Formats: sequence, structure tokens, C-alpha cells
Amino acid sequence: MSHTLRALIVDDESLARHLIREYLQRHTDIDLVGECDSGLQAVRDIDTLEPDLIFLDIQMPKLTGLEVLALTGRRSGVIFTTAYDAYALQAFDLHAVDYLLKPFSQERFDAALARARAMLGRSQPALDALIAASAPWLERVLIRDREQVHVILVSSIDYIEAQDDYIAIHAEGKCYLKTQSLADIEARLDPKGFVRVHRSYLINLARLQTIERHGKDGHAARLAGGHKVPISRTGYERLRTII
Amino acid sequence: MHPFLSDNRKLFRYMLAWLTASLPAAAALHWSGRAGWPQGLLFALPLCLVLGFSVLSAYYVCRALPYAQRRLARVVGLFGAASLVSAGAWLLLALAWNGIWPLLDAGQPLVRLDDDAQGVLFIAAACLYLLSLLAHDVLIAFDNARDATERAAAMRALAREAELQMLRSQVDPHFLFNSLNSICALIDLAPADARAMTIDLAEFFRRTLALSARTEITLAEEVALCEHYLAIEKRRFGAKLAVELQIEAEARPCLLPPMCLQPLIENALKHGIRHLDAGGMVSVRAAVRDGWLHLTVANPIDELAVSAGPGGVGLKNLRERLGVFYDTRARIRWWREAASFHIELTLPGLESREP
Repeated sequence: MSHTLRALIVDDESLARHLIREYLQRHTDIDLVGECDSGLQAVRDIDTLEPDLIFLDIQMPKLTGLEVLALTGRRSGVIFTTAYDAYALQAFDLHAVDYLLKPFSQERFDAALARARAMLGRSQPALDALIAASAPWLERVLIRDREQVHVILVSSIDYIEAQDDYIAIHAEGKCYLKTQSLADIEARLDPKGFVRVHRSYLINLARLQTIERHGKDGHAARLAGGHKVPISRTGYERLRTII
Repeated sequence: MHPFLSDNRKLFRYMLAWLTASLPAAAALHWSGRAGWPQGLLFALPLCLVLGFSVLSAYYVCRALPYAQRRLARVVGLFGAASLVSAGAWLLLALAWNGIWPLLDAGQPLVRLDDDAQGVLFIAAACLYLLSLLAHDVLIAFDNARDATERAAAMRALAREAELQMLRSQVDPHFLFNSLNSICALIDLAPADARAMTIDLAEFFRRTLALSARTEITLAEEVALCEHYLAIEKRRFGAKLAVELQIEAEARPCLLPPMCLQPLIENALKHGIRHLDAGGMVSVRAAVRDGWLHLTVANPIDELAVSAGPGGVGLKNLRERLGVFYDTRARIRWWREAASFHIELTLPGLESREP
């Protein structure tokens, strides 16, 4: 044997986690490093524990299995489990991604494990396609704040501001810092909902209240919640074509 | 067939009216000096009866010209011709009836039918026939309209019935497969629990199937169904789910359509408890107040949850079903109170007649 594999179980039902634990007993080379009962916990643990294998339930409250992958960027060593989700199953079949249908047998479990083992460490491009197909635009943004992980609904964001190497996300009266470029997050957000009004500002159109004159021939956006964001000349043109 | 001809009572009344009409006719003959009272009556009575019968044929004339094929010229032509032909035939009959008497016992004709009298008789018969045509036309139009609405209502009822059938037989596949998965895990962990859960699952489905064949059940039956459902969910949710059922004794025999309460509890778990890390308690209350059955389900919710309430399909379906069953006498409302969600059904508190 080369080395033991580190596995993580993600499922919001304890009995479902128990079943996987039981099936894992005969695989002595697999070391169970953690169990998560929520998607949020999974995002944290995938980051800190860096498991080789993840048994990932799809239907979880707040954060689905697919969202966990989208948020963590994890693309390898994933074995999906699901009871029933017509939409997800269709997507899986379309992209030839393996999944375990609950309830599953030890034999089916072993087969999925063998397949995942063979693919170990290799990034699965099918997962990329699957995640892209399941959610073309971000619905939630993940913020890591030391030990804490915040999930912000994209719809609750007022605006995003670029600051050096990171971005400041203003939502619900708070400001969250995230290491990401503004162009990067702009590409993941629905262009019908978010407009780059300035080199350093991206605003949520749903939160836009008025466009005010600012200075000589400049403009500024007044957002719900009272924030005022400068609008550049190209940003103004972009806004006008959308509204 | 003409509606009068298939109904003896209606026909009798109708002919009686014509018999009475023969009295003024005989009086008119008498006062105009054309006949004596007995001769006038003898002339008018049978002819009135025959006229009464013959104008009924207008029904078939109207039916022969469906509304879709009507053109003004055709209607005028057909109605006019029918009136003239019928009046002519009737006048010939009157002349024959009047003329038969001299041949029989060399007596006098019953009535002195000069040109004026014949003209009046012909015009009267033609007008009556035309009136009958118009009356029948209106009658048929009303009948058609009533039939159409009745058919539409029947179709709607059928469509609804089919929809109900489908809704009832619709079992959440997610619930089924997750429950089976839990049983799978329990077989190793706690075999007795696995057995109990299998039985709860079987009982829940058996009751669901049995109830789907019925239009109304007692609240006690619905609560029994929910108890099996909750027993299953308690095993799946573990310590996260607590349940409090407060069903008043007088509420138990109340009748309601099947599967009214269960979807509310299902929603409470799906949209409430499941999203809370610490879980919470679902409270179900049933009480009768002033003849109304009040059913309430309350559950804690995630305060930050975006969805303000159940705008879902399940609740829409329930509202529609209650509308079909109770018309406007049922009310469903929901509200959010800080971190809890409440839903209340108010239904007429009709009790089962069985003890």
C-alpha cells in the first residue's frame, strides 16, 4: 500500500453519514478525517483538512453539494450521493459524472470508490462543466474571516469595491473583505444584475436608486442603504445601455 | 323530441290552455253573428286543439336551422314559409270540418265562413305559428346555453378530480429514498429501530393510498397519518426535531379533505427545521371554536432566510383543493413572527355522523 487516503463525509442526515462510515470499514486504507452536517461546515473542512476523497450529498439546506464545490474550487476526489434530484441527475448523466443513489449497496459503494481511487488527485473536467451548468452565475459569495465562514447572498450585495489586492463587498450594512480581483468576481456575477460603473466599483442594479450629477460632468450612483458610488464616463455609458 | 311531448303533465296543461282559448273564439263567432253558441263551440274546440298541436312543430323547424348556419334571409324565408303553410293547412282543415256537417245530415254548416272570416282565421293561425317559432327559438337558445355551462362545469369538476387524484398519489420521492437510506443505516446500527421505521413507512404509505380514494376523512385519521410521517422524520432528523401535537377531543371527529395537515407539517420540516443547525419544535394545534375548525402549524425558521414564506406549489395546491371542497368557506393564512412561522387553516367544523 502506498499511503492511507483521507476521506470526508458531507451529509446533513446523521444516519446517511453512518451508512457511509459503515461501508468504509472494510477499506482499511481509508482514514476518515471528518464529517460535516452542512455545506458551510464542508467548505471550511475541505479547506483545512484537504481530504483526498469527499462523499458529498447534493441536497443540503443553505448550501448544496454543487455550491460547496463551486465555492471551494475543489474539482477532484468527489463522490456524489443523492436520494433524488431529477435536475441534478440529468446534469450528472449529461456530463458522465459518477454518483451514488441512496440507498446504495456496499458493492455499488466499492465500485464508486475504486473509480474515484483510479482518478485520485487528477482534476475532473466533467465537474467543471457540471458546476458551470448547474449555476451559470453566482448566487452566494463565500467570505473567509479567520475561523469564520460567511455566506452572503448575491442579491443582498449593494456594491463591490476594489481595494489593492482584495475586494470589499458591501452588503446589509456590513463590509466584507475577500482576496479576489474585481474582474474575477465580475465574470462570475450575472451581467444583467451587476454593472461595472467605475474601474473600482461594481454595483447591484437592483439596489440602484438614483443617478446624480457629481462635480462638473461626472455622475454618482445613489444606492439603497444610502451609499454613493462614483460613476466613470465609460461606466455611465455602460449603465445607459443597460437601463 | 319536444319537451312537452315527453312530459304528460306539461302537455295536459298546455292543451288545457288551448281548450280555454276556444271559449273566446266561440264568443267572437257568436257576437259577430256567424254562429250560435253550441255550433261555435263545436267548431272552435277541436280546431283549437289541432292548432295547439301543430304550433308545437315549430320546435323542429327551429332545430332544423342551427344557430351557426343562420342568415337573416334564410331565417325569414323558413319561418315565413312554415307559418304560411301551417296556417293554410289549418284553414283547409277548418273549412273541411265546417263543410262536413251539411253532408252528414243535410244540416247547416257550423259557422258562416265568409271571406273575411277565412282571412282572419288564416292571419291568426299564421301569427300564432310565427309566435310559437320565436318562443321556441328563445327556449332552445336558453337550453343550449344551460347545457354549455353544465358541460363546462362537469368538465371542470372532472379536471379537478383528476388533478386531486394526481396530487394525492404524488409522493415526495426525496422523502421515500431518504427514508429507505436511513433504514439501510439503521439495520446495522439499531435493527429494532430499522424495523419500526419500515413499519412506519409502510403504514404511512398504506394510509395515504387508502385516504386518496376518499373525499373527506376525520381529523383523527389525518393526525394518525401525520404521526407515522413524523415518526419517520424524527428518526431522520434525530435530536433536531421535536414535535408537539395538541389536538382537542372535539376537533378529532371533524371532517376535512385528506392530506390537508400533512403537507403543512412537511413544509415546516423542509423550510423550517431543516435549515436550523440546532433544529426546533413543530407545534400542531387543532381546536373547534364557534363551529369552526382551526388548524395551526408553527415552526421556528432561520431569521436570515430570504424566502419570506411558503410561496410554493404545495400551498397553492392546498388552497385550490380547499377552494374546490369548501368554495369560499375555508381560509388559509400564514404569518411570520420574529423567528417563527405560523400557518392557520380555518374550516367549517362539520362532524362525522358516525360515532
